[in-house]
Amino acid sequence: MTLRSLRVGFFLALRYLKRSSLWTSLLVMVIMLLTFLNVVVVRGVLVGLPVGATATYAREYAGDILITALPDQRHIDRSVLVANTLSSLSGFKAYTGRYLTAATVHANFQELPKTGHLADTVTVTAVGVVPEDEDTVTNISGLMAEGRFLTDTDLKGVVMGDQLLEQYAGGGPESGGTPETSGTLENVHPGTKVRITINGITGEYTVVGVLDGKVGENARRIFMHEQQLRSILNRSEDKKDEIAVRLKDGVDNVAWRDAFKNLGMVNYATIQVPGEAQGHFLDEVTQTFSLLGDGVGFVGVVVAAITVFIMIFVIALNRQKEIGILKGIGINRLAIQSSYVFLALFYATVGICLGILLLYFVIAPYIAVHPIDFPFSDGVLVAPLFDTLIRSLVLIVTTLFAGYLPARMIVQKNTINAILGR
Amino acid sequence: MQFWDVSMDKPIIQTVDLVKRYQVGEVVTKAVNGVSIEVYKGEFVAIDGKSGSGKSTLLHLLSLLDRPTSGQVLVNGDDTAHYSRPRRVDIRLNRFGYVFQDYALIPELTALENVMLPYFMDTGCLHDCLHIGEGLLERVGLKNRLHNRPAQLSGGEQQRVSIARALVNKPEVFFADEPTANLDSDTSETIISIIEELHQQGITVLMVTHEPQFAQRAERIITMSDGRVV
Repeated sequence: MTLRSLRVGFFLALRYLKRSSLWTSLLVMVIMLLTFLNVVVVRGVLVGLPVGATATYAREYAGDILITALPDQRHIDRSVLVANTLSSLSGFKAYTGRYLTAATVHANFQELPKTGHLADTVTVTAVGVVPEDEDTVTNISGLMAEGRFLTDTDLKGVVMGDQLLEQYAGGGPESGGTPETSGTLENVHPGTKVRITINGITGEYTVVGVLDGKVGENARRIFMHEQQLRSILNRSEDKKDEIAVRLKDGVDNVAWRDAFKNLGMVNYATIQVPGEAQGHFLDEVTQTFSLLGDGVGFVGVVVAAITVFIMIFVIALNRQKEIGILKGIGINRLAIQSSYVFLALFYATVGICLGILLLYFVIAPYIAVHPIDFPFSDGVLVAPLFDTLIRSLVLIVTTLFAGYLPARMIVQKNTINAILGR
Repeated sequence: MQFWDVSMDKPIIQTVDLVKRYQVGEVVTKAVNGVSIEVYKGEFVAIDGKSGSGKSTLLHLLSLLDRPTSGQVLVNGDDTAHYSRPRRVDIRLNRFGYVFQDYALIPELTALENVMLPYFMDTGCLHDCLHIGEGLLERVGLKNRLHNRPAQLSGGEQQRVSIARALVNKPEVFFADEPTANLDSDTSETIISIIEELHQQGITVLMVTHEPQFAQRAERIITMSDGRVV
């Protein structure tokens, strides 16, 4: 009897769908599609923020593996050995070595500071790199807001991180600040001369470019040619501070890191994948965003349930008389109620299927090519298929109940009253 | 004894002091007020009376579409008061056929689908349903209207579809509530002829009508006034 009732319910739902207004059906399916996107995509974007931040961190700064000094060391010991060993492991593509030191940059040094103001200076981290190596690993030349990146001949050139400059970071006179409170330099562009003091030695350099990166580490750094920096610091090639390694496409960086550690390199340096290098904070941010995403998803499911409830309630209410007639001619409640549940399931399933197609064939590929431009990361969409299917299932089960309840409420009405519209 | 194994000397449907009251605000209306009648198997009974006399309400109670305020409806001597809702639905599906006053067809279904629906509910077999539905529509003269929806049919055609639907599960009692209301005289005559035919085939017929010329076509007339049998 139950199976028969369900068959009749399915038959009635099918006939209703076939002969109801196409536009009404389309509208309901679009509502379900948007609900699905709200449940899956909004969460995916939220979770994608920290994931995108890690990806940006790896792309613009850390590479696939970041090698830094051991906690009790100032520099990477045996840097040359470590760097030379990189190429002994398959999967290695390129590396860039960096020398770091504290520096002070003085801009507008040709002018006297205003009365009561200090000179236009900022304290920064100066990074010495081989320009070509750095560009191979981080594609830094593609991140320029103004000007260009260093070339091999730019021994007296410097690239400034955008957060050091008033026009990008604010804090200058235009926003009510003073040079000494802002931490930014005024009116510095490619071609501007600045004085840089490192290790007590001051030299005059020309700004060749401004870096518009999204990674905090780069934003307040200045980039110089490593030869220049090493000569000022009198540092040997064997005392690098960072080595960022780029692996070939498809190489698992965690497995590669473990293999590299097993070569004994762990005795000379801290070897990390980008997620580790960023520290636990980002894990917590990821968890927080995931929780937020779940919260938004839950609200989305509740909204979906209410939407389906109202939709089926309105449909059933408008068909009270037909429901009464069906009961009158001996169609049982299960058949009538199930017809509305099938109706809701149809709308939900079509909406979800359209949503999945839209998600995986339009939205995800689009965002992969054109990441969302958030200030601190390129936002990606995190929507694994399994997660999406689980969420779709939750949505379908919710729809089932949301479709059943209003149908049950209407079907319970007295048969004769329903037929006569009383 | 089977529930429907009715002997000729025992009423197939009987009411005892049947009362149906409606309350709207503080106004209480007794639509049916102490009605006791008996209907025997194979009878053709017309229930007539003026508008508001309670004849349709009585038919609703007799066909188990509604429950009485008090009194009894006995089907083959069995008091239906204790029948569960599914049992009442099952009787309406398998043993009773009902023709509503305003045809009461499902607008999204074609004539054929409207007719076959109770049979589909009873058997779950779609193929047989279509075959039987076609046969019944042919019997009421609508062979060429199988796939038309109610809105595409005239009042008389809709009423014939409604009759075919009531007959699809081979009912033992056929209820018709004002089957000729809103129909022209020729169409009304066609409908009454179909009902007479059913009676001749041994189906018990209870027909509510306010038109004396059609009531007189029945074997027996129960006249109602102010909720009572007069």
